Amino acid sequence: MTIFSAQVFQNEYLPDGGDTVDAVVTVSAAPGGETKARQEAVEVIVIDCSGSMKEEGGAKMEGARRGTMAAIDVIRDGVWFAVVAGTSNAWPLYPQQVGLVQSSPQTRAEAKQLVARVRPKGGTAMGKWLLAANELVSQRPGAISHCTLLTDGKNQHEKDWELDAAIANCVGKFQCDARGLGADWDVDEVRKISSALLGTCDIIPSPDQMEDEFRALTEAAMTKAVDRVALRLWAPQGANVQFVKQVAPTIEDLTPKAVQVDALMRDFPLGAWADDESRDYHIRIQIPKGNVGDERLAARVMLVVDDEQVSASLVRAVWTGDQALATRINGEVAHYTGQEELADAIATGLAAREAGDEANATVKLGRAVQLAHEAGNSETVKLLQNVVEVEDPKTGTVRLKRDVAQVDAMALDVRSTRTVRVNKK
Amino acid sequence: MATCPNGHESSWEDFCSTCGDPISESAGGGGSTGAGDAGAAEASAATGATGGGDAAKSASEIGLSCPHCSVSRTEEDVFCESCGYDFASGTLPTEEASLDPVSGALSGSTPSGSTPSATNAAAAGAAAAAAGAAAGSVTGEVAPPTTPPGDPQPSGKAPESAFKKGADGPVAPDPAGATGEATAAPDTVAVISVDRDFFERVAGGGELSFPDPDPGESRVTLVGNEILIGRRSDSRGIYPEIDLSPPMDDPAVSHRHAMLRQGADGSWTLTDLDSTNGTYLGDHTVSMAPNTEKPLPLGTPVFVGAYTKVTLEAL
Ligand SMILES: [Zn+2]
Ligand SMILES: [Zn+2]
Repeated sequence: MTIFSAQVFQNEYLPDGGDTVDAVVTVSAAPGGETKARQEAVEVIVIDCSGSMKEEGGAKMEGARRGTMAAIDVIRDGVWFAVVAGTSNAWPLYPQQVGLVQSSPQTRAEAKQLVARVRPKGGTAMGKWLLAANELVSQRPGAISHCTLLTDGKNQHEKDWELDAAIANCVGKFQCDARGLGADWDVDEVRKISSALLGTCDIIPSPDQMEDEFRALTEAAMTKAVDRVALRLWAPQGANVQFVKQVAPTIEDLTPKAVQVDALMRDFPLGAWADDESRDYHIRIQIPKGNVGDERLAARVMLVVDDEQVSASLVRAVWTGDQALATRINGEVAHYTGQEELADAIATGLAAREAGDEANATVKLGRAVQLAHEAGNSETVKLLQNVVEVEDPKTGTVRLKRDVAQVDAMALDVRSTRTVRVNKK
Repeated sequence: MATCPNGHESSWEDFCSTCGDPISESAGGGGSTGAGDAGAAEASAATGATGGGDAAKSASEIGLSCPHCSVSRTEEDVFCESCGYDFASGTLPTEEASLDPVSGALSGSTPSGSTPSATNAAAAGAAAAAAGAAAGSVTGEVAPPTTPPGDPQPSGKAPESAFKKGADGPVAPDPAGATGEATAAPDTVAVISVDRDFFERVAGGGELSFPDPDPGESRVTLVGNEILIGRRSDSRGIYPEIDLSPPMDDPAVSHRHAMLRQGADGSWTLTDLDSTNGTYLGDHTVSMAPNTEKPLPLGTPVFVGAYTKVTLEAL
């Protein structure tokens, strides 16, 4: 079993007339409690076999084959798995009949033999791939289900609404980590999938990185110990929940994912957790104003697993006449507000660059360099340096680079939401 | 049950579960508490209200096949994966330039670009997809299942699958003995060049001009036992192994023009895929019958498009 705990970071003091409460909640999972049998798990690997995988002299397809084999190698004994070949259709690659097989040394070897025979042919229709994965995971209801999806291109062989409908069908059924190989895929399209399905999105710039990336992804999926975790937020009558965002390890706006539980409570699905991980959430709530000296509960933040409450913490509001107290900003809140601004500066800077608005792109990406430098996001600074020439990181003085590799711009885009955590002294 | 100063009945003892006001002096405490107010969880009921229903999932795998080349298809397919036939409009791809064999004049759309027909095809495709999603079941044009022997339909749960099955999927056939070896090492190379005599015969005097300067020879190592000769189409997902779109650039070659297949004994065959301008085997006077497989010995030239010559050689 897994034990959850939550810690709230906030400045609970509001000035007279103040009504907005910010808090950062750190949720941690740790092993412990009663020992139960490990929950059943499903792993579905979907590999793009579209014709464009022939490119680079067949290196893309070969990279995908090797990556898939590396992933298969680390599927724990007993986990139900399948490999799907994606074109403008979904094809059962392993097992050859539509279904799931339990991992064992023998089934993993069989699967790898079939993966070796896969070849590029046809188009790209990721909605069909997702529906196929959904069909497979539905065979083990109650399992912790995960899908690893690889594409190298745009979703050209179905309509946008078909992909959207497929995603909607899969929400809550399984988690999906999506990866784009090379530079010919659409970051927003793939991120739409991973974001709705509570997974991650990243670029694999070159086929020779497939093995490491797919092995790591599958290993991470294998650590998940508990599923159907949700953050349940209560806010008082008359309150307005402005946002609930995951802010570490990556920024993900959960606000639109709210599922109303009753008039004052709503759930934000958090998916599956390993029993040694920790994530941070930034919550902003507007509450009815009080008088100086009043205290009010601004939010009760609960964690639920399969609808059962496993922890609760309080976000409070106390109105004070002491300006110094009321204007202090909590360190965690300040840090993540900066990280959110950083991600936003990168996104708008890249969009401006794409649109040819060099002045705006320079300002935004310069601001991003400055924020990343201040907060110690050294990885983000490196990614930014592929796109801009940094003259002074302290002031955010930069020049746009002329020859930027498409994979570098995409890597900056897709990784702009990665955050660093507060230096806890 | 506790009551708050505003008269709300609260399911919590510390703060009012309606307005959040403190219930007694002892309220407050630390910033976080453990579990213990489990009463709150009782209100939880409906989750899973998301999801768009199952409407988008349409029936597939009821044995549809392409009316043009008979390769199996699903209802959702917009184009045939094999020949590019457009199921909605009932037409074959017409994007490539069409040569009048007598005059050499160019008809049909322009050699490159050809956006109008592509847009039409997309629009027709959308209509077909919409029709497929709207109609619960499809009547008419249901052919017998084309599932190959040895690959039976899983009985009992055939129709509602999101999967497509069949021999024309992206998996190479099991090598004869099933002894693990994935793909045979390539042993053949295709030599691609331009041929002026062929050009003069099929396209001379027309609107197309012979490449100048002569691009010379290029070589493609044949990996796999099915090699497509054609021109790349991103929109239709066609990526021929022998790609005669630019820089090779023969505008009279169809996207899916001809197929080279290698048998278990290593010998090659050639099949014209009902290309617009035909395929010439051996010499360039008589074009092959479409969709008919013919042996292709190494060294025998194949002529396609307006001026392209392809010859297989041992690697
Ligand atoms: Zn009350
Ligand atoms: Zn066909």
